[in-house]
Amino acid sequence: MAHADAIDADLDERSSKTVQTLKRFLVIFLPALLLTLPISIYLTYNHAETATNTLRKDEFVTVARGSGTVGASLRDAVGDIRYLGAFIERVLKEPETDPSKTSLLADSFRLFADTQGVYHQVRFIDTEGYEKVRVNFDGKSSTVSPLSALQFKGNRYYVQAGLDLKPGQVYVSRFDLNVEHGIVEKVRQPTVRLAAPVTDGAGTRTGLAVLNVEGQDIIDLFKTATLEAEKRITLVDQFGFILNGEDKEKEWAFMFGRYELSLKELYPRAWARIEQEGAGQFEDAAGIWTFQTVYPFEGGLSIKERSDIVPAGYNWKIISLIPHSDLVAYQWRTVSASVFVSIILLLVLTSGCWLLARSHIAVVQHGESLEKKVSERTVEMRMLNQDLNKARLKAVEGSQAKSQFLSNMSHELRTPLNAIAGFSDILAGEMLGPLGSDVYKGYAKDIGTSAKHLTSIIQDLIDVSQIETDSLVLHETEAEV
Amino acid sequence: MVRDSVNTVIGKASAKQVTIRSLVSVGMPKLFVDEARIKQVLVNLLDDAVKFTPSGGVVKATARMCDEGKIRLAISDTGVGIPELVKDRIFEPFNRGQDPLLQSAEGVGLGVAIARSLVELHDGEIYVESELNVGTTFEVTFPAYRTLD
Repeated sequence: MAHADAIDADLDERSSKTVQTLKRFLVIFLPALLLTLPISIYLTYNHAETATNTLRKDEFVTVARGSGTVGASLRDAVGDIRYLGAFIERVLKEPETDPSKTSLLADSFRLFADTQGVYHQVRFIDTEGYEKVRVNFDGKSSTVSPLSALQFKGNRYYVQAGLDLKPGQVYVSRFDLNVEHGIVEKVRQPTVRLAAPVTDGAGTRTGLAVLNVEGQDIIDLFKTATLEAEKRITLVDQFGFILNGEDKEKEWAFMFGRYELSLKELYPRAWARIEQEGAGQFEDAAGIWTFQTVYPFEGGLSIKERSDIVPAGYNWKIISLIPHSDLVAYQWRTVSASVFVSIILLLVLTSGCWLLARSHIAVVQHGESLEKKVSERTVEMRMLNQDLNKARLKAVEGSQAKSQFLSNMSHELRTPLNAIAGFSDILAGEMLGPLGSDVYKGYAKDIGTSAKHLTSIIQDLIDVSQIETDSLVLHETEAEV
Repeated sequence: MVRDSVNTVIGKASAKQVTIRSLVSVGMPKLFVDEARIKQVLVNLLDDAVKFTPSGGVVKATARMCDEGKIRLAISDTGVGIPELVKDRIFEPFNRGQDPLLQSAEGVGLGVAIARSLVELHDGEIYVESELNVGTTFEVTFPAYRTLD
């Protein structure tokens, strides 16, 4: 039981030591934590904020670069279609037979397509919507479509819009995919069509000059310029339809009737703001939007001409959306190193504080145990001193008692012994008359001798006791040797 | 003191047919001591010497000056001697050695112990030299300052 109690006490002591150490630890650690935590949180937050700002700025630059490449892409095309329209008019005025005029136009179209190199189709369409002359250019060489390959395009929107134009005006189609025989081509061919009306000189409409601009070139330029943001940047037209972007399903979706995949439908509020502001940057629930509006004819026409000649408000937009998840991931990537270092420092701080607390408690407890030991020893010493004092008193008392006893005894013994010695001498000396027998006389002598011996022994004992108790006093005088 | 002490035991010695002599040098100074106590010492030693000396033996008491003005008294006998083993213990009270020969003799052995204490009280020294069956000599020395001219 006693052993078990000792173990319990030991456990108690240990657990109390742990509790004390823990308390001490908290006393040291909490202020240190209160001091360092806000600083490190502030620094981390600042770091993340700076990273976000850098990201925003970089995105602006990327979007601007994209708009720089796309912005002037149709600058020359407006002039070209106007020239083409005027050229067709001039040729048709000549009083020649129809086939020769057609072949002249075809030759001129080929020459034009080959030298310009950016138009996939150069056409003349009559007022009914039938293609009269058509030259295709595949990027390397041009071919004249035979009569059998000419199609009816009167149902296409750009033909209808083009035929409604006043002389001098230019129609620019939306940026979409080429359609042949009423079907979108299998190999998608991004296209912008420009159309200019052709008249007979008296003001009667005779047809329409049409140029198909190779859109893939524009898109390739855009992609190269915005490569670093390819996963989040899109090119859209003025209605919010996506012309190029990371998500291929949304790309050109309007060509397949999926109008719901436009930015206008997907992010109506963000789109409203983008339409209204033209260029800028803002943040909403989806993420950070960076956008810029580009006018593809910029530089080719004066502002006044632009409003007169080309459709008003024709524009594309370059829009980047950094989703919140990406933003958070980016911020984390940026601050993860400092967060890691902070955690390491926190661990070091924690263990340092713990060691400090433990050594503090050890010192305190050592001091306490020393004090306890000193006070225990002091009590022990006092008790020992008391015992010693008692023993000394007892010894002194005992010694005195012994001396008293011996002196009493010597007196009490010597008196009768003297009597015995004296009387035996009287007997042996037959002072009061003969004893009658020599044996008796001998006995009397023996008694005397024995008594004297006993007296001397007693005297020796007294001497020894006096010597041992330091009570023997010398009576020093002059003495002959 | 030497002659008085010898006279005290001379009866015992002659009764036992032991010759006893005292030899005191001429011109010895007087001593400043407790005369009765020094006589007690000498008588004790002489008593023992006579006691342990067989008939026909000789006991001598001598007194002389020695180095540095010290006075030396010696009691020698031609007795049984003291075994080497117990020589140092004879100065302790009630101890006469384990020799049955000594134990058979009368007395309880306080004499030598008392003698040493008394000599030392006078700042003197006491030695014993002994050879078994040849004899024993006790020497008592008093310091020079105990002498009186």
